Amino acid sequence: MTPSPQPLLRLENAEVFYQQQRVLDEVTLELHQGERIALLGKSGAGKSTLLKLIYQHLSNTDHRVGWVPQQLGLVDKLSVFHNIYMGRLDQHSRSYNLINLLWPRPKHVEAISKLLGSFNLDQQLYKTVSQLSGGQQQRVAIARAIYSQADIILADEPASSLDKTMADTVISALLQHSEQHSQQHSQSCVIALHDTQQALAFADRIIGIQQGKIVLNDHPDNITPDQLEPLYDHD
Amino acid sequence: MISAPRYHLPTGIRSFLLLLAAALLCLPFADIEISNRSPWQEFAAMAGGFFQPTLLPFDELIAAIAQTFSYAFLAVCTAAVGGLFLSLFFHQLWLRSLCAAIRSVHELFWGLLFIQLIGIHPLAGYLAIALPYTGIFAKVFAEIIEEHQSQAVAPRHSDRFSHFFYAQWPQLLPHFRSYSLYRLECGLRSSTVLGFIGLPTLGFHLETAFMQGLYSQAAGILFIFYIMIASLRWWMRPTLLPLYFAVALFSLWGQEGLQLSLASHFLHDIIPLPIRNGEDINGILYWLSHLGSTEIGPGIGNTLVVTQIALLLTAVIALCLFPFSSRQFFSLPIRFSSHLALVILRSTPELIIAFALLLLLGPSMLPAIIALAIHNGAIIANLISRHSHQITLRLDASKGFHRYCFEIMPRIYGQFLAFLCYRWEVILRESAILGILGVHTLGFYIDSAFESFRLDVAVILIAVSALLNILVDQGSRQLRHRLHLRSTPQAQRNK
Amino acid sequence: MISKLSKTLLTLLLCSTAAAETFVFTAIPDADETRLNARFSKVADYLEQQLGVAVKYVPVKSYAAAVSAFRNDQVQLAWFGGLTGVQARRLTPGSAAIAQGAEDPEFKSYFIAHHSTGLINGAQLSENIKGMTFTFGSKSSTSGRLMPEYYLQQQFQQSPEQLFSRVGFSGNHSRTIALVQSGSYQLGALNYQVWLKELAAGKVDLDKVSIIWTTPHYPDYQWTVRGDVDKRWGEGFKQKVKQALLDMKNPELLNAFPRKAFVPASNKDYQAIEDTARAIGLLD
Repeated sequence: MTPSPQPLLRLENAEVFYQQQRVLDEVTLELHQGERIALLGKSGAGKSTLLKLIYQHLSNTDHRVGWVPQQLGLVDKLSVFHNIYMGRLDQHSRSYNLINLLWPRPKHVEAISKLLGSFNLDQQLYKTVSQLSGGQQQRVAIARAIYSQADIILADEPASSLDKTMADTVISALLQHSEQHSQQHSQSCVIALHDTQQALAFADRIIGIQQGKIVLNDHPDNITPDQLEPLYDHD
Repeated sequence: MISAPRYHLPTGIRSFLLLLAAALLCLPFADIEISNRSPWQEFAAMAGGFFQPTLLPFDELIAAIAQTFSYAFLAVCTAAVGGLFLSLFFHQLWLRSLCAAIRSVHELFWGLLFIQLIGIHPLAGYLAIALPYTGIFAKVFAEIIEEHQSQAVAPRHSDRFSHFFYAQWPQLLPHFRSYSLYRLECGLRSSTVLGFIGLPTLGFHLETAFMQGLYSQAAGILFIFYIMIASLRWWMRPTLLPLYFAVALFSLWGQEGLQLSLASHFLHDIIPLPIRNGEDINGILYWLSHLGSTEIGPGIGNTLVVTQIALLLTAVIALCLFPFSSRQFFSLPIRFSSHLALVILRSTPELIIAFALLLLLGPSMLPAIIALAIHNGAIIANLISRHSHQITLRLDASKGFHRYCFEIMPRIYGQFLAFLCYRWEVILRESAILGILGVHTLGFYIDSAFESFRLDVAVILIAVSALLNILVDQGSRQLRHRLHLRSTPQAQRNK
Repeated sequence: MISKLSKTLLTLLLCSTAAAETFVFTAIPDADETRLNARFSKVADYLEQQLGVAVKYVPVKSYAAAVSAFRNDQVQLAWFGGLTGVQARRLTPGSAAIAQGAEDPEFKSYFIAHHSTGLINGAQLSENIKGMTFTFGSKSSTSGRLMPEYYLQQQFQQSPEQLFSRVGFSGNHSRTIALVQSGSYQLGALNYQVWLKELAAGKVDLDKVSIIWTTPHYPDYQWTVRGDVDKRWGEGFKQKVKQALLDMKNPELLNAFPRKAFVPASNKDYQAIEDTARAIGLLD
């Protein structure tokens, strides 16, 4: 699949300050439709900030964005069903949504349980989020982003509290959905990760950030281990 | 394939439906018509007065302010000290029950009782506030102490008092202080309301002004009252306490002497009539059953009807109003004006709102219900809007109506229900009181009994209303427990 | 303000010395309650001058409060209604009615109605009042509650609660006029003196509210004094008080009540009121 010539987003010399400190420094970046980008960098390097910046720019366009923040931001007291349903609130009328809040319609129940099936969560459909484990919650957050039928998914460390196998499953589920989806729309995704192996496995572009600067922006095949070395935390 | 999970309405929604059902069940028994044929004319007069407030003559105004302050200040100070002392022994069941009993009787009923006992004497007003407040202070202070118990490092071999004052006092003091300040605000409200039954506080003049349709003057008195409450935190300084104490004592002191001989009248009068007349057990039972069917029964029924409908309306008002004060929905100018409106609504005692509405809408349960709902709804709205500020939303959180339903409501709903449960008992107590304005709740019959000097009947009816209060208090505690709602003093303190 | 403070201070200082006791009186708050102090302080000044002792007026908020204050010796003289006077004298042995208004032996109540009821003044109450809404004045008022209730019982053989769809207590006579005039209640009953006074003051709109029936005569208001005043202010004090009241001729003072003059009265003048109160269950 070739990236369309018109980019989804173009940042040029973007800067972000936080409490008088420069957290993003002269970032220049283009995102294209259908791209799968892995964002690598040590904690505090500016990955989350860059994702937020991308989100803010995209939310001003008419692209639908699926957002998976690091702090998930799910509504604890609502069921898994409702949290995922929230991904599509803007596609229905207020009264329709209100009815679904009180008494879910079978149509949506069916679609959402099917989606949850691929995350191994279908039995948790009506559990409240507070009843789930951290890993389960993370999967719900991803499911919500997928359900929102976004043109682009921005995910900040979506597999951080999952074990290795589950993390792989979840990432591949995310990609699989984006692929199914892509057949019609060519969905893109930008995923911030700390696991370089995962990044190399799925991404068709890797962006590396170090102290707020983009130090790497290339196809995985062209990247040497030396270049990756400063981009992850050594435990 | 495993069968798909089944959907159940969340318990929160179910408890709300229960509330709704209770209110609907009460509706056929409720007398809620607007009987005033020209409410707009009255409203125009009231609004006109509100925008052109006039003050009382200077000497009367100063005297009324001094009295309002003095009753509240002296009563709250002594109740705080007394409550603190009692709270140290709060593990004793008899003490807990005693405190529950004295605080289940409203200040106004205490006032009516003490006026019978010692006449319109400053001591009557002082005791009417101090007594129930001591019960409240004891309970809340005990809860605060309990909350901090585990955190205190106790020096070994210390007795209860030195342990308390050395180990716990420093960390408890700020809580005690902020709660006492809040109680002082309540005290100013109570002391004002006592004016309605004859003590020379602001409420005395307020009732007169409303009664005579002098709305400009009523507005003037109300504004003075709001200013007193709003500036409370500014003038209430620890270093000034002795001065205030002296001023309060001075302004209440030196009026009429106290006639303690009255106590014997009182003790004689509260003995039920058939016993006084030496009737046999049948006579007593007949008297009681007559009282039960003509006053106690209808009184309880009407009190509950007003309470349940008002409780539902309180919930609705709180849920409708809180977004306007919440950072999650509106920008500063709207939030500020909404906050101001809420402060005014919650500072105004229910009795005063009901009284104004009675003039506006005519006699029925409606003024009482609306007054209770406005006052309590504003209190809860204020609390949950503050609670909503603690919520951090996602970047992509929905806006407006969707944010309200999906993001905020589910997160604040538990707290909201907890506050509503607390207000349940308060609303019940106030529903009884509003009978004084003519709604046939328990207060109506109590007032009538005092008017016709049937102290025996009055005391029985007050005891019934206290019992009803304790029952509802227990019920709300059970409900909170079942709904797993947090019941810490933090929430209680906002009563 | 300063003078008041210094007066209080003086009272405090003189507390221990045998300062002459202040003679205190009150009046039931049966009508316009504004400036009660202003209205009655002139009466206090008059009495002080006549009696030669300090006299003070204290305002009360309700009929019951007036009776309590009297019983509790916080006031020694009170301007009571018929029923409150009976209550007070029952609760305070030795006390006596000493004077009443010239109008009081033949007092009466008016029944009034909102114009929308279509009721007109008649020799008897119309049967059409059944099912309407009705307000009394204060719960312990003679002309605003006791006698109207008595005459309703007489004519309809029913209690007001059975007769009307809603029964209220406005609080005082002026308020009864206001509530019927605004249509909050269709009917009301009140003291005829207050009606005439409010009418003269232009506060009654005859297009909205009018009299539909006048009750027969009955005795009402009176001055009642405690039995122990002679012991405290000297022999013959009660007689002095009575004489001072009977001698009150200044229309400005009399208008506070409002009466043309005061005439002698005694406890037995009010036996009929007591019997009526007992008959309809207001006294045990």
